[in-house]
Amino acid sequence: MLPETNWLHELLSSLKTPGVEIVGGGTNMLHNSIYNKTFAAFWYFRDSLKNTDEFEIKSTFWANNFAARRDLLIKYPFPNIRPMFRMSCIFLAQKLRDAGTTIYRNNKAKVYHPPPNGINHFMVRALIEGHDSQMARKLFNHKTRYHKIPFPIKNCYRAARSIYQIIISRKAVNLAFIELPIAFSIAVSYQFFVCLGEFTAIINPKLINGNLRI
Amino acid sequence: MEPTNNWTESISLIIEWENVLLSQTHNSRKMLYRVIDEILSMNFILQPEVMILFDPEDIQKDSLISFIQNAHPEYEKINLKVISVSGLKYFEMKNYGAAVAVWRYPRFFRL
Repeated sequence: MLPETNWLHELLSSLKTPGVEIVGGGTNMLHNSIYNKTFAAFWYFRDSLKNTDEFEIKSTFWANNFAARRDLLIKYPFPNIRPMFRMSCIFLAQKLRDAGTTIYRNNKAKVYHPPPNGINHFMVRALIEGHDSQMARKLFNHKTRYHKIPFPIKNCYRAARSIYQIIISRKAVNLAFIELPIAFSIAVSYQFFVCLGEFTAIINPKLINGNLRI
Repeated sequence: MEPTNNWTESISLIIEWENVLLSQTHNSRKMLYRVIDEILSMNFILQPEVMILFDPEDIQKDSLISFIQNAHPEYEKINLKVISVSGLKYFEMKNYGAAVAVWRYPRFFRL
């Protein structure tokens, strides 16, 4: 995670605004290699694609880049949703919204998130993503059509969506046309391991949770 | 946001040293360097508290401290606290950090 200049100033300035109890920053990815550009195009952290410096109201925040008043976090800690690795921030955001707290984002408070580092980390991140997806399906009775799509159809959909996201974000992340096949291969490989993680969580939920660290 | 001359607010920065083993050491060093630079560039009346939470099963405290010392030449100007927490996961570390933070605005940052 690399903060940009004035990141702390921006985050804290937002928090000084009356009525602001929690503010997130923008989490971006660098566009300096095919690998980075691919992840910038299809992974979670796509803030830089919007190219906005707005101070805005959001439904959620990135847990890797936010500031909040301590009282708020003591009252509303991140929920413990073991055996999941991630997603606590989504449920905390939901809880805060239900309690009437507005979540702000200052897009000028930028940090850069690295993509998975090396093959091992690449596989671990994807396996955990698949594991969490399956756990979320079991633990939370999602009502949306997307969450009702069964395994492994959902994973095929994800792979197709990743390719689509790469195509539509190609210019924003400066991916050359000739680089597209490599980008597609990276994204589809990642989604393959996500699928594997989901499958593993179906047959043995403790296998990933007990053996992997993100 | 317009820059201000002095910051009267007290803040705590919480850094979870959770996936550092999988992240590039070079990136982690650059991150620490920039965080320290950001703090030093702002005129805080009250010195911010920077808490680095780690699991002793992942990394030894001495090597983490040595890593921090090498990350920025002016690290001594920062109120750094290296805190050992066993068995806590990412979000649990955040909750722990918020609970023990001294200052008013905990801010979270993950490696």
